[in-house]
Amino acid sequence: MKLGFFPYEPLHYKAAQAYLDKKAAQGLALKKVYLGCIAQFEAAEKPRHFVDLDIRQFLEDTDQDYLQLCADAGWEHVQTLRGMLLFRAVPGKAPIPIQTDDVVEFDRFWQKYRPRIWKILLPLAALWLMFLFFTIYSSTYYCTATLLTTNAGLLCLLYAAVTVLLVIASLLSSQNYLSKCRNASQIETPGKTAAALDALTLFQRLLACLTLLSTFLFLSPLSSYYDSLEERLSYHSGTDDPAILEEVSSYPVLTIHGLDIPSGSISSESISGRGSLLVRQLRQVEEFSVNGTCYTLATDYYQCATPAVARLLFALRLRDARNTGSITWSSDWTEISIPGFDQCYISYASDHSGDGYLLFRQGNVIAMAGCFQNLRPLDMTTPEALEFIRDRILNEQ
Amino acid sequence: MARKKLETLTEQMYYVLLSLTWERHGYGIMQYVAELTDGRVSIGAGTLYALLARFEEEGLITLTDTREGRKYYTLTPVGMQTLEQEYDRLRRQVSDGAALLDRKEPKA
Repeated sequence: MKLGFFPYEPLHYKAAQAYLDKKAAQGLALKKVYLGCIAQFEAAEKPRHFVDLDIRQFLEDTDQDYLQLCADAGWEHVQTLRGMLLFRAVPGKAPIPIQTDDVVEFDRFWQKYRPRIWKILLPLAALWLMFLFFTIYSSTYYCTATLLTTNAGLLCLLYAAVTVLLVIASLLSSQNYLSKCRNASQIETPGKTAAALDALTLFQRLLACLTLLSTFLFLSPLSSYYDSLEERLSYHSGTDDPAILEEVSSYPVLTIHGLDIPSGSISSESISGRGSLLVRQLRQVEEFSVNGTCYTLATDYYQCATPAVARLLFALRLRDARNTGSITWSSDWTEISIPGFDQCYISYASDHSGDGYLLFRQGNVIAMAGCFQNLRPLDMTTPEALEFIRDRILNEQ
Repeated sequence: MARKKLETLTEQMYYVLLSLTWERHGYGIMQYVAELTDGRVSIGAGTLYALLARFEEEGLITLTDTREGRKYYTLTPVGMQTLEQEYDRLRRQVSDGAALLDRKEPKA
């Protein structure tokens, strides 16, 4: 029993035929194709195969009369796969080929695959819609950074890249192949690139399934991992337990104690995290009150796999922050230069009462950190605040 | 290239229509044609299936029965007329050929 890779699409069914002929020459007969691409062969005496286009496309619609006719003629129907009918000769028989009239076969092939304008425009329109979707969606919602910070997002990016590549390659390849067929007035056997292209198509379908699955999981509570710490601290009212506060201080986040904010009472503490292959993210929110006024201290912390990823994520995070004003109260971000930081932006409060939020990158680490809500925001550019950031956030990398 | 109308039949089309002067099912047609032509003309199942679908669509043949998973067809009057026209055309071709090729003297 041997296995082989069988990625062929119906357009390239002559390539599938050539592949099975090659296997037949080695004394191998097709037994079954698993998972749409893993062909299982078994030893046979003088095996023969025939690959035919299935004009009905699906097995349940394949006319049984046709399969009966092929069976009568000595062809055993192995499987219907992606619009192709796979046959092998009944052992001991040497049936005539299923297609014996090149003109009739070419007519049918040409009717199915002849170039039509919509076949060219449709994939291009799909790419354009994808581009439009990402442009509009990412400028409206806080989402583009998520493409890097979750594995689901990474899969989306990979799927989009493969799809773009596939659409362009398919258009060029199929137009070239169909031109050859038209000029020869017969169905030519495609070259080796056809198998590679068909394999890419299979990969794209697999990616689509994985992307859908991971997107579903991403939207579910299973998506983000929660630190054990978070379970204890999340919305933990009146958190003054020294052990818990010490544990919080082990994370690269802002804390009122670390910033020497005049003592207030912490009403809730929440740290959650998630990560992808490229980025680990922590989000912390500490709510506290001073003299009856509520404040929120928040940190969005990203540790990236490489500085290049960090630069890309920083650009996306800045774009998201400017587009949505998410987390902060303002979408007004200005670049400033602070020694010890590769990149740094400040968000001003809408009433210009102070500089409340910093978005910075140093090496592989990006963080958006600050204090906001209700009253005058905290100035994060004071020497004390910057020192705290360097100690607590940047030293984590 | 695709033909729009069956003005000229291919050899396989001709023999399929010829075999359907009697009611037959698909495999019966394949066997009959092979027997009639002494194996010179073979019609594959896929080719035959496509031809039967096309002939039926153009009203040249009609489905008469379905027994044991096999469909039986026979010629319609239109199909008989098409067959006769093709036979006549072939006969004239043979006649024209014979007029020239059967002579002993050199051809013009």
